[in-house]
Amino acid sequence: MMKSVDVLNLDHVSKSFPATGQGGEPIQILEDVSLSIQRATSTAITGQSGSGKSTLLQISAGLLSADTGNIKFEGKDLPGMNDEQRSRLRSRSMGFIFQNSLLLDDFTALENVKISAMIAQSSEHVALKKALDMLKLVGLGDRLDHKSDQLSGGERQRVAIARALVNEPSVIFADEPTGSLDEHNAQLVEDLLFSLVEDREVALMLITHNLNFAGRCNLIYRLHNRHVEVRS
Amino acid sequence: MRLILHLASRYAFSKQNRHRGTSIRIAIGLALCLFAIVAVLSFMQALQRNQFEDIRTFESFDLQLDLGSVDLAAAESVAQKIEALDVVQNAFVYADLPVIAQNSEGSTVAGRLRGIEAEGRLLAQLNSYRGYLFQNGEIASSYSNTRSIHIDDTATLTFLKKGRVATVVPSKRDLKVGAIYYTSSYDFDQSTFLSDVPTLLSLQNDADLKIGVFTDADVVSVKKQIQELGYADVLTWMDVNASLYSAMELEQKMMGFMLFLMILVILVHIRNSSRRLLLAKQSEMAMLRSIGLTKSKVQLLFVLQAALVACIGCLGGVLLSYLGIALYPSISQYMYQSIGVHLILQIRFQELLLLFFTIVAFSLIASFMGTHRILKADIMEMFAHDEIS
Repeated sequence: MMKSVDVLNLDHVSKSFPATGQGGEPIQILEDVSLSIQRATSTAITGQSGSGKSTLLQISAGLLSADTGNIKFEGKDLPGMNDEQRSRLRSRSMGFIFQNSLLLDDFTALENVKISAMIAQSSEHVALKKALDMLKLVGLGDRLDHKSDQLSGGERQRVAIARALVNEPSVIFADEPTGSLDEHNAQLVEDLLFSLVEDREVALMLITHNLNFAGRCNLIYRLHNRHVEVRS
Repeated sequence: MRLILHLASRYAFSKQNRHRGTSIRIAIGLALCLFAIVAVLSFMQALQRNQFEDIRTFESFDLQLDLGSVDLAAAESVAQKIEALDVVQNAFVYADLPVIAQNSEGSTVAGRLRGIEAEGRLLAQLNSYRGYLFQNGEIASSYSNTRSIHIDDTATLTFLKKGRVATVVPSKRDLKVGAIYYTSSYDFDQSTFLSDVPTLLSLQNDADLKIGVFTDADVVSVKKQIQELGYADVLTWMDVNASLYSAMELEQKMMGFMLFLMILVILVHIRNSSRRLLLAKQSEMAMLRSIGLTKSKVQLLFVLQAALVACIGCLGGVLLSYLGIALYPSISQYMYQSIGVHLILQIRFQELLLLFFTIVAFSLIASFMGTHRILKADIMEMFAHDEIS
């Protein structure tokens, strides 16, 4: 078994959003949040709607900036990185799965995955091979040339998983990956994600409402009143 | 870079692109705008060219030199000297005499008798309808005056001569109408009888002789060269037709202003459509950023896309313009019926090139600014909002 190494550390992170009306107080979403994510482990973040789970994930992945606090990814200061360094990190060390399986709608399933590999500097030939392998792994070998609107919700989510994994990232950030799927497809995606954590030793940071899904993770954090607490 | 180019072309015109229709509409809009500008520019330039061409050919020539002399031999020698200049194509003697011409039935035409050694452009565009032009002792009347003055008529010319007691006295002389001519200038034809210079001098031997000059070079520099030969009293066609020329200049300025407004409309169109296209792609930009494409590469991608759409639109406009010019002769008779002149349309390549690059450059700038504005936001904000402001 591989030794647990922190790939992501959040230290006293706070985030607020400006009030929508004029003269209103900013809305504090996160306050003094600290947590760490280890390689080859799955970590679930749970909490009520509006508790700031997605914001926490987005800040952890550098998709949103925090107001205060330190974020270290693989030991490097994430907010201190320039755009190029952060982009490189996103393409090679991070994989994203969003609730609405955001795909590049103009492109086929194969192209969505291939483009991600090419952005991470794989040659076209290598990127194609990687994309084919990854789509077969998620059971979409027969849907390669289908565009986003020709795929079901579960299939789109599996394309998103293939795209997130194609560059062999160290962390997968999954925001409600089964939230919009039926039971069968949700189970497929869940099984796929946990098998990847075991087989490929990636870290999984999972946002979910589903306590059963969260219960399969190695660690569960609960966001409550802008603070995070360890549940198990 | 290959990936960026591939994505840019896919985002611009690929069949698989959801926004292909928008790109096509933008390109068509640019093509039509460019064509509209070129068409207006060509028509206005052709109209002005047409007006000035007649004036420069028949009326005032490119330059004219008042000799203040009545010595024909001396005037011819000056004309030869001026014609020897490299920049001068033709230099010839001429003189004008105001006359009233009356035919045997009493019909009169008021105008002038121009005695001239016709050369160059004037001779090339002077057409004889009947008879022979410039026969000694005969005059030529124009086709537009044939209702009053006919060929072989004897016209009585009344003109003013210096008197012994009075300053001027009316004088009469009968001359045969030996030819009927026509030119493309209706105004010139209506007011002018033509003869050779000796015939005019036989009517009034103290008529002021002048030298007319044709040149393809810049008239101001030719004027300077003629003045350097020692002839101070040189006027360009712009000096002679100062009021008309300044009216034309004003018209040209107004035309420039109108074209500026048209270009402004195009630029606003480019800016709006570029913004529309970019906003439609905002979540895709966020997606590309989230999978690791840097801001500068996303910006490059959409600038290239805009360049592609603008170039194709402008090329369409150029093709339309040349097609329009090529097809114009087949519809020119309809234009003649409405505006009364035959125009020869031309496209000035440099102006077209300038327009082309202005539009493409502005497209690039609009796309650059638009993406810059969108990319200032965090990735998740780009996903979340329809428009980053």
